[in-house]
Amino acid sequence: MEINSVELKSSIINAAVHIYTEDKSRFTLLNIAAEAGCEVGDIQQFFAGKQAILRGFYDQIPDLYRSAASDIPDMDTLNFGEKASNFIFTTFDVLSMHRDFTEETFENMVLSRSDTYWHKESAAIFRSMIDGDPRIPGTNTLVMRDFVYDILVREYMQLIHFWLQDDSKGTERTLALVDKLTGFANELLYSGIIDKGFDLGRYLLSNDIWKFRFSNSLGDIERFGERLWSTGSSLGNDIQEAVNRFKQQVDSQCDSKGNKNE
Amino acid sequence: MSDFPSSKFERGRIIAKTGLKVGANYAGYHLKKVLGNKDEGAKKALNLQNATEVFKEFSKLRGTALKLAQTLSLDTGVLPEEFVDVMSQAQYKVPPINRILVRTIIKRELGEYPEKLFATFSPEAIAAASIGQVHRATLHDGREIAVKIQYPNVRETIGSDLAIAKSVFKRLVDHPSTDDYFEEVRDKLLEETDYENEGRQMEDYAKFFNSEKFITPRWIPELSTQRVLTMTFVNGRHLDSFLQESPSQEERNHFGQLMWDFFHEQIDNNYTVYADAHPGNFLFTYDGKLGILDFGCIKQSPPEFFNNYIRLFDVHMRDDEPGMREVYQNLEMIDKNPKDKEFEERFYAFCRGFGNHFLSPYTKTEFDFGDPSYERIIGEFAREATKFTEPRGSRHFIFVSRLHVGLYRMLMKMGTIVQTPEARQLLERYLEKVQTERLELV
Repeated sequence: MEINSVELKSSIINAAVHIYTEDKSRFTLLNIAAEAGCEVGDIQQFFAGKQAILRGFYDQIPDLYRSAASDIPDMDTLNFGEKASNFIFTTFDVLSMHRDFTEETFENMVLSRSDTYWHKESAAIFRSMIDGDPRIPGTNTLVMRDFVYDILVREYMQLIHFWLQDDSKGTERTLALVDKLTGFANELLYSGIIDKGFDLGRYLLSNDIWKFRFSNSLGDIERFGERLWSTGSSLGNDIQEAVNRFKQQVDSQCDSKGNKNE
Repeated sequence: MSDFPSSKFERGRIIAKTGLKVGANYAGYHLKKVLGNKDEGAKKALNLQNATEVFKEFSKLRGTALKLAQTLSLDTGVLPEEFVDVMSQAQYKVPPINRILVRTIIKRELGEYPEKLFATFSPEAIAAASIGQVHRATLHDGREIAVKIQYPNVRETIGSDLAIAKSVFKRLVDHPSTDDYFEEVRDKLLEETDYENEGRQMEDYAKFFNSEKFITPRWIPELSTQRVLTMTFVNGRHLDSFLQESPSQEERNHFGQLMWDFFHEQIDNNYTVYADAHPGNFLFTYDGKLGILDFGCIKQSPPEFFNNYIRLFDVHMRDDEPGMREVYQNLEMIDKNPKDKEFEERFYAFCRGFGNHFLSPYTKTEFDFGDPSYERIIGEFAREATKFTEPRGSRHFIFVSRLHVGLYRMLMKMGTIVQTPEARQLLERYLEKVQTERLELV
């Protein structure tokens, strides 16, 4: 019987993750092939090496989500918050299949990085949720810079981190948290507040004396970011980063008195 | 999109905010009072405004505080009557649970997504309750069912919610027994989060009540867990929809009588009563039966409390003054050795007056709950009750009187004329049993 390549890839990943978790001394291509019921050559068709198979466990999540999402009735009628929670809950379902492995490797293989296939595709998934939603005020999508999607991906990864440490029954604490966070993000997007914020920013940039009037506010936001950061939220870091970028942009456009460069 | 504040901090802030708003509104009222504005209408409007504020904030908490608000609002005179009207809407207007979360909970609890598990599943809830919501679905064998889903982490937030809610209620009602009452509500709430327990209670009631008069849903245990409750669907309309159809007096009497009978047929049921008597839990079916829903709040009282509660009928019917004192003492309404004798006498006189009026339907063969003077006097007693800064009574009163008062409220709203002889017979038979079998009284 011919095995479909998606199924074969999935059984190679499951075999590798299983062997890695059970007994690292058996973590060889030969053993993986034997457990997956294929040849080493088949593995090499898909993966550059043993570590790549392990990364494959995480990198399959976006594709599995896309396939699962196509099964949901009335997907188009869901709002951003519901779509985002669907992505997060599907992720938990996939990771639950090898929770021990995830607990052992998530921090090093995923959380400490930002360049994996999973990261990039997650940003694309969040972008598609926002771009494809006509209920979000139009100009929002224009001002959505890449860093907004990066923030969403970082918060998503932090939620997984939280979930891994959640010892409540059925990880109910995380379920409620996801619901709350996605609900908040939903309100933020549909209310048009982001749009208004960027509109205000654009206006300030084109105002010659903006720097004198608002530099204190910028400092306040920065301090707020610092406090958030000190409580362990990566969002604080993101706020600080955004403020720094904004400052740099302004510094390059204004002279020392805050007047706009010609 | 669901909007459920689950951290203690945020839930606390909501309760505190509500308390502050209520405080500020009452401050405005008292200021007007001092300045000579004695308008009762202004007070009513103020109560309504406060009730709406409280409801808005409490409904966001969905679980504990909302249940508490409902419980206290249905209790006799703990909160002004305007609160009762607003709070009675609570069952219908809590924010819905995110549709994806609904799917996720079903998958986690039952192993499959709803579209695979059921032939049809409606993603929109048909009813929202304090700690969950109900969806309509069809099984592959064609049976119509209802699936109740509990919001995650509700059980864990009950303790902290109650601690915060208590501080707000203490501002509204100066109540020495608050701790006891809160403990009673907490115990019941914790019990209500166990849907398997509710399933078993539902089956007990089904055996006892399914008849030509009543219909109850049947538990489907193979599709149920502690957090998801699947049951057969009962078709019918709630009280408000029924009244919108401008039913005839005969129809009002028919369904009202069923409610009245439902209450009284529980008298000899091992000290156990269905304690969730509010309009959202009753359905009027199209074939004339009374549908009873939601079996999470079943109250089993200690025998001595229950037997004394039933004895109230007897002592009031016979106007037995020493008997009344004894029963009210046993029910912890009045103190045997009070510090302030004068206050105690006033309080006893109030109990006696209220009890006589409340139980007057039992003195007649036929009683018209639509009589506006009856409802007005009940309201006056309830208002009078709020003037006593020390309301008393055993903690077991909360849920038992909730059933009794809840029943009366619905009957008054429907303007039902009830026939009482059967109920009186049931009461008399039970009182005989108390005597002959020497059932506990203290």
